[in-house]
Amino acid sequence: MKRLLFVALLVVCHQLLQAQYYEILIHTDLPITQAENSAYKIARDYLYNNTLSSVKDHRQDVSLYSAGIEEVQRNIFNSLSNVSDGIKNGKALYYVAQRIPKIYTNLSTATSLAVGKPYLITIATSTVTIMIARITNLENYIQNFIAKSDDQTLITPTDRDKFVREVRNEVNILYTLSSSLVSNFKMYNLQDAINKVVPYKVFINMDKNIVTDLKTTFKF
Amino acid sequence: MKKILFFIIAFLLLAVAGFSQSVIEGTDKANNGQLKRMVFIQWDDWVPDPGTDWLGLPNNMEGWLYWDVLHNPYYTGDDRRPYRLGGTFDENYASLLLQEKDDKKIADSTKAVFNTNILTYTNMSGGDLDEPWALYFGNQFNTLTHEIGNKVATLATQSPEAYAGFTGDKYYKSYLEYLDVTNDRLSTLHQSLLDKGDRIVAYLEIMKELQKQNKIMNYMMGIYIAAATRMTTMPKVNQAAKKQVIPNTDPEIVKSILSNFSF
Repeated sequence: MKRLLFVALLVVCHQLLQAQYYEILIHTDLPITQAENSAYKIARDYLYNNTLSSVKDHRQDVSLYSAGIEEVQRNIFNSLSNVSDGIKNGKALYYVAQRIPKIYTNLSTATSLAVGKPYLITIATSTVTIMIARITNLENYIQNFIAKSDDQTLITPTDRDKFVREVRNEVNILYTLSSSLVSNFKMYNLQDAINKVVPYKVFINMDKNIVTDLKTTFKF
Repeated sequence: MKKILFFIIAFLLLAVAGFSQSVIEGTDKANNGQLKRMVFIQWDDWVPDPGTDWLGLPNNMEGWLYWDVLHNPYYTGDDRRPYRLGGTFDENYASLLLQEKDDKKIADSTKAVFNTNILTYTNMSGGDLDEPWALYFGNQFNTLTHEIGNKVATLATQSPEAYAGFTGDKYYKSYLEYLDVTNDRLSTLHQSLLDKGDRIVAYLEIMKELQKQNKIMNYMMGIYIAAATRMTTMPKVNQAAKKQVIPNTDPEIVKSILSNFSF
């Protein structure tokens, strides 16, 4: 009886257990085709990727070269549009800046020397007016053109140097003229004073008369 | 014996309740055909067969129904394999190749322009890259700008009188100012970024100008040296005491007047 019960229990257990049976079907043709597809795709994609890399490299090169070109052009443009420190702080403009106040001083002296002398005041007025106008123009020329950085005005450094040199020469000439004016006025005043003290013209005329008289009267 | 039999029966029953599996090999022609169509291998491998016989009756009802009826546009449409010869990939790749070719041309052109720019920049650069200065003008200007200074230094020891006269001359002072300005101009031109030709022309102009100024200074120095030499070599004249002659006679008076006055 026990045995029968044991067998029955086994049967029940058997019913409770889930029997599973697998049949695995392997398609042998699919992996080959898949491998073939994959190999081909990878090869073609690699080719595509290589070409894309090449395009990328070319574009990077273009970007790099363009940056270099832009840098060079910017430097050249700056050298044409900006005033170099060498010119702006150069000795030529330094001497010009030193000389211009001296010209004004000379003109002022010349004017003061001409005070009270109608024949000098005419010369002084016209000369001083012309010179001041010229100096003002030159100062504006320096400030607004030669020493001014302007993107609209492109000047080579050599041309800028020439302009500075011309201005310096002109300022030197004006300075010499103004000095000459002062010395001439001083000389004129001195001569005028001497003439007043020593009326030599009278003596010259007197001497001339004496000599003429002697020449006509005496035989040597 | 009974016990053994019991265990055998129990084992068999349990064995039936456990896992069991088996492996079968086979082919899947329909999927394989689709795989071929999906990449590049073959387009017209239709499985099951969608074809019909000469009477128009399907060779395989399932294949005909699936391909010709349900997926007719796909079945009767163009070859859609992306990687086939002349397919989408090839079209894209051809386009990419053209793009790559164009980009290469652009890169080459840009490189040529870049090289030209770099050459121009090198040509225009001053400082250490200023070849004309390094090869010729540097030495020339060094000699010219020091020429008068060196001579003046020698003059100081050889002839102090001439030295004093020359260095006190206002033209020498203006020459020093000119030299100062010229050195400054040279330095600016040497350092600036400008066209090589322009730079050479500017150097030549300054050199010519400087040579002219030096020539004038040399001439002036010569005059001062000659004057100093003449002064030292000139015998001292014993100045006779000037006799004050008072003309008494008419001829004497006339002679005196004629010799002392200019008319």
